[in-house]
Amino acid sequence: MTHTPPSPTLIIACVDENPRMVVLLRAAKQKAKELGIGWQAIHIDQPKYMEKNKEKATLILQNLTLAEQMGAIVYHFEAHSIAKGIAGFVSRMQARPGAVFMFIGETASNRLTIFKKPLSVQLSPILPQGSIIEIITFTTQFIPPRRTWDERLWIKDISLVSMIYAMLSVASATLLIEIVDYLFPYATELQARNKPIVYMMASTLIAGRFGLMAGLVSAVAGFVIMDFFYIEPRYSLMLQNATDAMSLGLYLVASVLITLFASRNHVQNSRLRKQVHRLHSLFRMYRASLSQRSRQQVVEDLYQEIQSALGTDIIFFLPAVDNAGQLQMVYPKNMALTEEETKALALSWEKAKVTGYGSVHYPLSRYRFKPLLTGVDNKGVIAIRINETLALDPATSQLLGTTVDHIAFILERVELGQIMEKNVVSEEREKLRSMLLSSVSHDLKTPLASVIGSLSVYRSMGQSLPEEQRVILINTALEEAQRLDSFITNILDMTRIETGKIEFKKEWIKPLDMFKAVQKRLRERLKDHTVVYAPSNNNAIEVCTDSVMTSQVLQNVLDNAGKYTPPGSVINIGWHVSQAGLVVEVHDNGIGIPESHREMIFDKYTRLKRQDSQVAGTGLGLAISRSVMNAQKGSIVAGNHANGGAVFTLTFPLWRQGEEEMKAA
Amino acid sequence: MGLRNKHILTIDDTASIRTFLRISLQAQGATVYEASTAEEGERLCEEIKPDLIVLDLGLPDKDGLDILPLLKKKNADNKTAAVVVLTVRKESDTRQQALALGADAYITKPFLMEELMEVIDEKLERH
Repeated sequence: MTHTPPSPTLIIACVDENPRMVVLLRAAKQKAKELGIGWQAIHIDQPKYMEKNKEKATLILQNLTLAEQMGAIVYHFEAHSIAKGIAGFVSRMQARPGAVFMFIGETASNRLTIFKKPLSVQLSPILPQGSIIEIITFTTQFIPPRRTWDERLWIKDISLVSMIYAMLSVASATLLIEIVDYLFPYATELQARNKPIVYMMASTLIAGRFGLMAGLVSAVAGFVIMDFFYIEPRYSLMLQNATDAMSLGLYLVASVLITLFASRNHVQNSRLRKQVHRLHSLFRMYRASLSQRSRQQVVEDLYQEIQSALGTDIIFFLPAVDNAGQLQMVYPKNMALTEEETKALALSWEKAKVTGYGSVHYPLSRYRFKPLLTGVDNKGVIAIRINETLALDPATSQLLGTTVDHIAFILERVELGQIMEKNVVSEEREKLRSMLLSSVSHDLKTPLASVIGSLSVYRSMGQSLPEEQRVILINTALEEAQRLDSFITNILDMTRIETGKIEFKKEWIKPLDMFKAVQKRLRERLKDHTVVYAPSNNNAIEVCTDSVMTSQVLQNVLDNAGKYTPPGSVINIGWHVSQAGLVVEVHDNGIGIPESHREMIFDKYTRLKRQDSQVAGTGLGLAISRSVMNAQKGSIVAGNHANGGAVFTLTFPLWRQGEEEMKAA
Repeated sequence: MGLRNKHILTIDDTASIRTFLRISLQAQGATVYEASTAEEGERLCEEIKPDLIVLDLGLPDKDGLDILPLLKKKNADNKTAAVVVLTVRKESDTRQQALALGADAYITKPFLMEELMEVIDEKLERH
């Protein structure tokens, strides 16, 4: 019986800094195609607390970008050893252990490692059964460029503050020794033995707090001071006997070792702090995305958060609001791009590819351009300024990937939110339109029903009815026809005001004249009411307004006062000058207007809530009155009088005394 | 005088409609009562036990549909009034609802008096 090995379910390409990585990636891609499954490209960083190599990091970034473009899903993470990292990755990716096809690159030099087994040998026992490891042999390898002496000593990383602290630590240690010497002058033997320990404490503390260089400086300074002050011959760097030389040498070795460990701790701590800070930033970004706001606001907020999370410059490029195909620099604006960068940006947008720094397209750009992809479409491009720390840190590059995905998602969310809002608004408007329509049809039909009903009674039984009743029928029909006319006029006016088709004239006219004309028009309807003008009224006063439109307002107000008050009651009209202009008040003696209705009565949609209404044809009168007054920069409000009854207050900002000059309030 | 001895209640908040209904119905011999609100209509209905009620639906205090069941309740003489709904609402579900609640006829405004009379005559003969 032949045993066929299980077919691999996972293809992994291990990516490092080798310049010929494309060979390995091609092989992996080919394999994926053969097996008809996807493939992964991974790079595992080991915590290298002592190495910072920009060129190497750039190559890794380039290789990972290449893998992404070749269709791989890219992972970039940190592990203590590469073999352990791969094993962990494999178990995370598979629900149950299955065969893996690994592609590993080896060069002549790393195959000859004496201290360490080659990666392939380390891996074979820990991968699931049936796994295949394919070794690609590279003929070239990455050779780090020669470094200048200051680079090798990380002089650039040394901060003045940490050096001052290093010196202070040695000074404090010396001071401590002197104090103990003074307090216990006879314990010289004990003192001599403990001095190195005190200095070692100082350098350990400094390494833990400020890193390796500061720790080493502290250790060496401690060494020099001990030699100079405490070891015979004193006040000289010479040594008298071999024992002293040996213990001093041991001190130096021990303190350097301790400093190394302490500084490693320091590196890990600062990494952790950074990660926590970034997690917080991500969280804040997520929160920023939850509030429904405009795209611009969201982008500005994201900019702040990403800036603080990555510690580098970024630029958002999003499609123009009016032209979705054209990309715009949205935030921050007016950043200068080189020609190369502009080309990289355009390519990233058109082809939805990563371009610019560290990619194969326009690698000389200062920025890396990443498309904001949501799986549905491309929301824009984000440009990230790559500086040294950013390119080197795997945690950052991982964060970068997450962040960019997240931004795309947030922008999509904002867009969807706006579309939804727009839909809701138009739905609401549609509802209001149909309500307005049904209300208008009601307002038209009720007076029409009276006209048709009255006339049909007159036609069918006119002969048999007494004269008095025939007159009532005809008058009812006539009045209702007039009501219908005024209602239709109102609707047309409203439409014209709302669409801006009415141009308001400006003419000087006395309120008294307007009221008198309106009263004449409403003679029939106000025949049971008494209109009283306040004796305090200044009848010579004039307001600047469109007399036709404003008369319509006064008519609506007076008509209203007539309708809602019992026959025989009084309507008071008065006006006075105030800071806001000329104030005209129409006060009836009815039951007044409930507080909750004072604004609603001016809303054309209010009465929509009631299908039919007590008095036909009034629905839009007050709404129109308000439109007319507002359009002329005046106002109309409703309230109740102290002595009962409703008061409608109209304000005209422009008024003058008779023939005098115009006064503006 | 086909409506002699008939008691008819009109419930409508539009005065001009009540006016021509009154003139026409009175001329045919009916005794006409008028209400401009739902509350007044309910009260009068209990008081006068009308033979027929003309009911508008959009009343200022309540919807006509809300008082329909009360108007259709049997009075002390174990009789119920015929109810003719007069309204501007022409939606078929409002019509269905009104008929389901006991309305005997449903007429939309505007209408000719002759149309209404036909319906009234028919309903009163049946009662």
